[in-house]
Amino acid sequence: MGAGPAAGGRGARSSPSPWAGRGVACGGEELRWPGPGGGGSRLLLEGVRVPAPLREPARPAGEGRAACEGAGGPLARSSSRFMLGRGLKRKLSDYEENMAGLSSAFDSSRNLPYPLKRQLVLNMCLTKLQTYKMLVEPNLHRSVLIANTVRQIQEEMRQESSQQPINVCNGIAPNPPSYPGIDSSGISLHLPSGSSQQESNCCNSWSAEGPIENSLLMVSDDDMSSAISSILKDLDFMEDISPPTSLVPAGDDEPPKSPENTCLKLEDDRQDLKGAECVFGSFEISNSTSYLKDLAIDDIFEDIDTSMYDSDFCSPPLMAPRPPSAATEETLKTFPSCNSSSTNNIPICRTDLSELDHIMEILVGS
Amino acid sequence: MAFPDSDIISTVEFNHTGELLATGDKGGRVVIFQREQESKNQPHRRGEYNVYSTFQSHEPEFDYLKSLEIEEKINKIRWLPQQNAAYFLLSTNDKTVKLWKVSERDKRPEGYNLKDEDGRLRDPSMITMLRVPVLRPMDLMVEATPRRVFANAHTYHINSISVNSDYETYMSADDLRINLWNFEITNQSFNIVDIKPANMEELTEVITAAEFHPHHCNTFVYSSSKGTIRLCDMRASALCDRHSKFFEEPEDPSNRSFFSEIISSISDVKFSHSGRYIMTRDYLTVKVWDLNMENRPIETYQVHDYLRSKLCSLYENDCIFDKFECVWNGSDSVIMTGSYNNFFRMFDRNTKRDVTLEASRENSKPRAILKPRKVCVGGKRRKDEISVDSLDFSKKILHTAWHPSENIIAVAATNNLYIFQDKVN
Repeated sequence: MGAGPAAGGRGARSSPSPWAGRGVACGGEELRWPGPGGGGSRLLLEGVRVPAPLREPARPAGEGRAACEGAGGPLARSSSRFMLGRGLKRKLSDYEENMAGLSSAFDSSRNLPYPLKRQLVLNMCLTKLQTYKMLVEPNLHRSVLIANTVRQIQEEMRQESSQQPINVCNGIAPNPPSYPGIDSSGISLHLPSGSSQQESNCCNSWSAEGPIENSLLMVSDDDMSSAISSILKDLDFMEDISPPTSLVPAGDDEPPKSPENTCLKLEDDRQDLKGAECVFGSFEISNSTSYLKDLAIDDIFEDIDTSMYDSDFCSPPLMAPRPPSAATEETLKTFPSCNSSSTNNIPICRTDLSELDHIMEILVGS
Repeated sequence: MAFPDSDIISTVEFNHTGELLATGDKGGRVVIFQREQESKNQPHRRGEYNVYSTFQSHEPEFDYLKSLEIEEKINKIRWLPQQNAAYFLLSTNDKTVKLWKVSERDKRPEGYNLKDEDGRLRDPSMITMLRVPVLRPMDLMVEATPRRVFANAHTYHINSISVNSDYETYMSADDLRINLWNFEITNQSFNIVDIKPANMEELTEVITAAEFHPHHCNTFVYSSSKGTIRLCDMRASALCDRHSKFFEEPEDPSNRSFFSEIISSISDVKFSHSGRYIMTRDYLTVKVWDLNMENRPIETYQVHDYLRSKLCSLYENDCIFDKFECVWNGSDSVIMTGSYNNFFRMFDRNTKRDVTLEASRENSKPRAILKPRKVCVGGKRRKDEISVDSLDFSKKILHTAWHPSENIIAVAATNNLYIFQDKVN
């Protein structure tokens, strides 16, 4: 990797590489000093932190280049390796329309079931966080507000599920080595607890994980779950290189935790990512405070289920290769099956299916 | 109507006498307006504001270490009280505060001995007599010079500056820290509030605004993204992490939604001129708090409650994060704040009456009286009312200012500045 540490090379991240993102320097070749003249602003755009390619995108080819929403300007030179943001350019307007449609559906509809509303909001929050993550300098105020909203929703979901004795598999793809963005079950990734396509399969796959009441609590893939923490950490790391000139002794200048603690993830990519952070952590500037500390699983976030959100966040909830209509149908089919096993806490199964259909169409973009 | 982004006005502030009005824009420029002297010949022209000075306060910068562009947008301007013929103001962008001196020059010396009128040096051998240069009037020239630059003290984005009543110090606040400066010292500042957690993942609250008490130089308040206000006394300890007072209203459970926290974030906090009250602005309301009562505000005014049912859409298009400011009038009897569709609202605290007005070219012929506007919430729309769905959310009035003693207001509507005065009978 040839990490060039000393200059605190975490400054510019101009080339997308496996190590880019999450505050990791790409080593000596990183351009910390932008070129003269007009190179400055150009470098800024190129220096965008791109999330590490945590999974191989299984997308159909013709997705086109991405222009990440909200990033402003010709932001992302995302290479095809990066799932996030791919296909955005083509779908951006669709996405915006869909989101606008969803949010006005949220606002105007009285019939929308509460869990669905909640899920919509959660979707939007995570999408925004993901978008911010791709910005060079995310807005701290907004990130904190959105993160709090996510936490609040998650807490609510957790409390709800803790009242359910039944183990409800929610069709979230099991924890596979490849990210479940496009997984075999494909569908019902937008819908929260209560819809299970292959319940038995699901439960089987989860059974190894132990008796957890609701698979929502499980982190099959905590890429998004750590998006929040990573954004905040990154903000810290990004911004707080120069502490205020007159110091109240921070008292939190602890050495970074040993790398071994942090490398716990399952996928190779994730291990790479964490490994990169570990490596980088050892180069932490000594007089700075607390960034890149504690890369272990964040307790607060470990129970956020984000397998739904792994793949394309910036486009309408992702589409598996299978045609949307089939997905919709299958989703609808699953409701009767989950009806029997779900408790009253999952009213979604009993909702007006036509309304749900409408929502699904929007989500699915058909 | 296309205009460059750089023309968007980002702050408006009257000086302490109301003679000057400063605006800052996204392009880093400051434009100062001066009120005309009232003349007996034209009693109708009751002191209009004309451009007095324009200068480039901040330039875009590039932070090479972090590979970040620092915007030149002026976040806040605050005037210092006038102590001599020159005017002083503080202007800040995200990272750097500058003290500017604005002074007039209306005379220039003429009759130099060694140079001629064009400035060329004369041949000393040609000089046959000496004279004393005299000052002759010249066209008024207003020049702005940066006197101090207070840089490199903020890791996060500066959202507020506030001049202390001692006129020797001021504070600057960013998302997580507040620093105290002495005007004379630019290479040091004193950190008085630091809410940064040891582990950034634990961060749940940021500072959104801060202001010194108008009379007590040891007291200041800062507001947070969780809808709370903390009043701190600098005499209590050097680092004011422990507040003296904590203002928070318990949440109304009937109004709870997914967006409750986001809309509770306070976007502006202002002391009343008397120093007895503070006013806060969150997304949907303006609240007035008595400094002696911490558990709830004494007054709450709904700015645009019809938006409560549109929160998801407003969240989706990020409008929910808009930061509206609020202002008191000189006597603290009326408060004003902006809204969407170029509407702004005024609330009379005594009569409890409120009015919605619009800042737009069509409605604002010179000396035309502003017509009150009304938003109708559904159901039948009367003539002249506008329905919620027709509101233009790109036309937002975030920044307004009220003359310190008269009923003159300045309203910034995106790239346009409107100045309204009381009609003289």
